[in-house]
Amino acid sequence: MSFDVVITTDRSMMTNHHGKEFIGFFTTAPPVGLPESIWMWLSAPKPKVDRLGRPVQAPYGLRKIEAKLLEAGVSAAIVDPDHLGSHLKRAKVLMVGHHDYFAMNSPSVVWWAVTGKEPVNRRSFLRLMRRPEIREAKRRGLKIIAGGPAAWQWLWNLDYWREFGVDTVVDGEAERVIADLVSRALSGEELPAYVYVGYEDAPSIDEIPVIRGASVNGFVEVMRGCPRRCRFCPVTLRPVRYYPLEKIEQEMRVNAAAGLRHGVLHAEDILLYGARGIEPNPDALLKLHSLAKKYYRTVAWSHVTLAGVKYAQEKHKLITRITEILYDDHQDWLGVQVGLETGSVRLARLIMPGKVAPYPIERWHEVVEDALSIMHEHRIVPALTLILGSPDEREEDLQQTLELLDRIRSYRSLVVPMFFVPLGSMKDRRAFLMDRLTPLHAEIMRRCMWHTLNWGKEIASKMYLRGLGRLPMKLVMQAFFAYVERKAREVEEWLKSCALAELQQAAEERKAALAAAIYRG
Amino acid sequence: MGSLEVILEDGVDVGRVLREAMLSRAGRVVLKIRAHDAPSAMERLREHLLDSYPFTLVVEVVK
Repeated sequence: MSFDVVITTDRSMMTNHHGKEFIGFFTTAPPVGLPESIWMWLSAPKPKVDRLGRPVQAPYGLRKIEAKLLEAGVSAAIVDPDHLGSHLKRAKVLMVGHHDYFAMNSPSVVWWAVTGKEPVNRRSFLRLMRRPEIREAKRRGLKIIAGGPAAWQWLWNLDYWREFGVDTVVDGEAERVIADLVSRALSGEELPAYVYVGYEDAPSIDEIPVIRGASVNGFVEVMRGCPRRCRFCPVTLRPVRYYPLEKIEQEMRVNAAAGLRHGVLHAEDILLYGARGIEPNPDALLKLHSLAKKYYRTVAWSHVTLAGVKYAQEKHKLITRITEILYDDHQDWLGVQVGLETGSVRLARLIMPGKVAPYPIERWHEVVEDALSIMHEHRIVPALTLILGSPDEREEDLQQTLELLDRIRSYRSLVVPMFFVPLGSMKDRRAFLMDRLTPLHAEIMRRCMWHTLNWGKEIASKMYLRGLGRLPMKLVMQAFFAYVERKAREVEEWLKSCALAELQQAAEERKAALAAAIYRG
Repeated sequence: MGSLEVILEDGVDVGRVLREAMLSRAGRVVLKIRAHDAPSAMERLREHLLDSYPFTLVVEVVK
């Protein structure tokens, strides 16, 4: 059986990360203290595939594209990167997607800058595109279309665009444009170089198809867009749309039929599902979680906001009511990624005034602490992300971030510093590549590291990797934490002994190497 | 909403073209650029691209 259109991505994406999506973060780092092959096995094991090399679980974004093409009557399938050979002999179009093709997003770029080593996601993607079967098919006239949330990175990697012979890059929600583009490719017409899908071409809910095959770790989107309008985020530039429960259930059913018993509910702020503006809709949220529990034994959230947690709990006791639905013999905790972004009230006002709503921005520290306290009490574990190097950042902003980090020390959480990447309404601003690194940035990174190591050990052993079946992974993680702790102490000693000039010189050297590698085009 | 087609000759201010396109209320803007290949065309454009366009932007290479 052959397909006209083959959809794929590299191993760092085509995996279920051992059923633990958080382990996927390790694909954004270089192999630390381990050979790359072992690092890849630990973070991105090969998935189960059928006899045609189609993965049982595939990245959700690729599933949407596959479903849209099937709906349009195109012969298309997602194929595991290790099984491309036979399919590419006949395929006319190869589509690739990624959330970080060239490791230019955070946290990849942070690990790269700090360690000076290329993250494995980038290395894995470059290996994929250099495979002989792709080169051979390209010589025969294969059209290559690249898309996904990291499509913008191709603009800064023009040498790779040229080397791999990419025909078209599609940036944005592709449902309205992709079938037409692919049909032009299949009929041999000339393709555009680049398509950016503007917000007025964002698909309606009816135009977004239901996935046809299972998604990685039961990932299901429940809404698109976000009303909070943070200036650094491109998602907020799109209209807010909610999936009806019937449509969500259809996707959960697809995942359950493939044997998945764990699911991730995806939204930029899950507590805004069905909301009117930022006013939560308790009925919709309770029904959504009851529905999820009907199909999945365990459920995770993709993202939530701290103001959302505090408000939903204080006004409707929603955190208590939702965890009462979720927690049972199979589940007694919940993981989620949360944007902490900054400890500075001044900066918060500039870059994310809506993130604190309905509370006044001046109460940001209180909102953070109250929300983390609620989450701690309800065994919700946030992976907090912090932006370093925002364009308008000042020393006093970093001081406030340090103060906030002190205040949240006792709350079970991970804190991951991220370098500013120009996206959304801030796309015309400069990326942070350690060129403006100051001792305060270094101190913030140091405190985040210890916070994460201290809590990470407990979370990994008591929550994330419980049970005998997880013992090998648990032992590896313990060894990894011990190694990172040792390295961290070495780095601390170096930071103590070196003068600011030396630190900046080291950053400057890293910056030059990194800028040359990242902005290769 | 209609479609707007612009041929970008050498020396044309790309940023200005895109700013004016935003005011045009066009639903689709097609930029045709004379270039050796797609990456060369995008090298000319990339500094000017934003995430906030209401329209769908299509870039075509004219050889």
